[in-house]
Amino acid sequence: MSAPAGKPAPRGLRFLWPLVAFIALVGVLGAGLQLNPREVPSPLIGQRVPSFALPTLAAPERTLGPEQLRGQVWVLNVWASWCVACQAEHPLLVEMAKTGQVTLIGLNYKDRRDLALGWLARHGNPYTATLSDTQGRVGLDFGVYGVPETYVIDSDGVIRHKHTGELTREVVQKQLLPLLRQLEG
Amino acid sequence: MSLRRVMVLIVSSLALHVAAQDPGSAKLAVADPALEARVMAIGAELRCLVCQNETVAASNAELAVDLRGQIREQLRDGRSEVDILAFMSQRYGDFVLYRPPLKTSTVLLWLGPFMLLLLGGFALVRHLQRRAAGSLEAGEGSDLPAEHATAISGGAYSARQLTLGALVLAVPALALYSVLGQPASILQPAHAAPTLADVDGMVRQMEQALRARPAGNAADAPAWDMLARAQASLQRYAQAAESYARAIELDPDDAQRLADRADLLRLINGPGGSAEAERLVQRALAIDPRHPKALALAAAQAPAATSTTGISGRVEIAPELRSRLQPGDTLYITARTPQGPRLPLAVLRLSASEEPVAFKLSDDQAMAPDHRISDHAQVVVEARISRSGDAMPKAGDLVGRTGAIANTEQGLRVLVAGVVP
Repeated sequence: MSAPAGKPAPRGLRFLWPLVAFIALVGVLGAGLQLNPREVPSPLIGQRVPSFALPTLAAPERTLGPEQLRGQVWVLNVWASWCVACQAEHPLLVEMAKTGQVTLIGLNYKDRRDLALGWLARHGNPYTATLSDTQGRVGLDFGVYGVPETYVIDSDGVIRHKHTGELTREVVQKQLLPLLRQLEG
Repeated sequence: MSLRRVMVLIVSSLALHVAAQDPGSAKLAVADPALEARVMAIGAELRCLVCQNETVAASNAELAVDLRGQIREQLRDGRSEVDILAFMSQRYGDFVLYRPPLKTSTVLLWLGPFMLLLLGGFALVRHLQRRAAGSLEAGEGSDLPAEHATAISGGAYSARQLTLGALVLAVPALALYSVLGQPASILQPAHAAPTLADVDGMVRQMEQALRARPAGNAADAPAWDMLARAQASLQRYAQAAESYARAIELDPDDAQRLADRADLLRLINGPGGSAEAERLVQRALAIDPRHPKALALAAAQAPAATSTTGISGRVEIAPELRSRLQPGDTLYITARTPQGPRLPLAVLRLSASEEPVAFKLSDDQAMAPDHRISDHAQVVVEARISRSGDAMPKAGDLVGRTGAIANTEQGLRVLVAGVVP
């Protein structure tokens, strides 16, 4: 330190350094606060869909697995009759099904068959087929932790997208439908 | 009851409901404590994704219970801890691991604190060196005493710099808070909390909505439960009991629900409850013999165990021994079988007195459940006054003993007239 103490420029800069560091730290923490801790990135994106064979809700003696759905893009929607958010997003699914462009497969997660069938009768059934996962074992393979959850699976059987929680019109319009169009196209 | 308490009650009753769904783990822990310890050890490494700040071992969320079941199953199949943690992170990502692996995406997480520490230490050392150098220079180059030079060159900032610094800190802080924080809550804190009328309105709305629904739908039963809990926490017990009744109509086989209604009936009708409360508890126990609340209610309903038979009487001390009595001496009254084990059938511990001491010995004072007064027609009663309060007889203790008497003897007189040699 040979410069005389009176020189203003370097002193001023030096004194700003901690402030810059502080603002950077606040910026990083602030950005962290904006994140949604519920949005856990799924390690299954880009992976092959877990293999399973589950009885269908409509006909329990028949089973369905991902092999039978090979060659088409499909959407797996995890739902249960005890789940309030499922009821909230359900009209959107019914609407999607009406267009006839989406193969919607339901995964009835940790539910009772009679309650699930009653629920579908009341709220409408948008699903091409619904699988009964009464023990939640297949749900575990999909990394389900908050019902409802929605997965997009491409024609090669690879998981391309996962949405945790209730679907909203915005999510459907801005994420699901464009992705489906891209995969179909 | 404060609003906060109402909310806490509603939330905690929901939490209890969740906890009640894992009656298995306690049973399993008894069945195989070593396995359960391993399950818990692995569970402590995993984050419960529903209650994100809890481990899978600590959480009672349904997902955590499921994952513990999965760990248990895989351990039984002989898989290792590493296998199981890999299984979980394949499905839920590294986020599920409380100790994420060190890889490129987590380098900053693992090494960041050490880097910050190093940087800070480096900056501190530099700063101190500069201050030392600056003060030396100033000391040499000026006529001021050394300590004044320090104050000017390195130790203190000018008033202008300080004001500027404060502004530069405060303005961005306020700006950031206005964006990230909730400035509105500073201005009107009172409006944030719902009033009792709000809660009451919400509960009534829920009730109306439920009544408007088509009858006979079993899926509505949990909603009636929730309404009942809300009504109970607002102290509208009769309505709450009614809501539980509706829920039971829809879905009659839920032990928790039956016990909840029984509990409310007891609350309304007094501890005697009603015949219906008793029936509900019996039904709940038929469905789930280990249901905690039903068991507690059943215990409360059972008539208090009355000691039917027993021996009563008083202990007197012989006049010539009264002088040996001191305050604080202990009087033991025991009943034994005339022959057989020394283990008493019943023991009473009282404070000794010159006056006669009344006593009653019955099954209530039994030391072992299968060794009771009522099981033996003939017993011997012994009274012993102990200076030390020791349960075993000692030299100098004063004793008196009856012969064999009936186990229903009333008005018995035990005279303490001997001294233990």
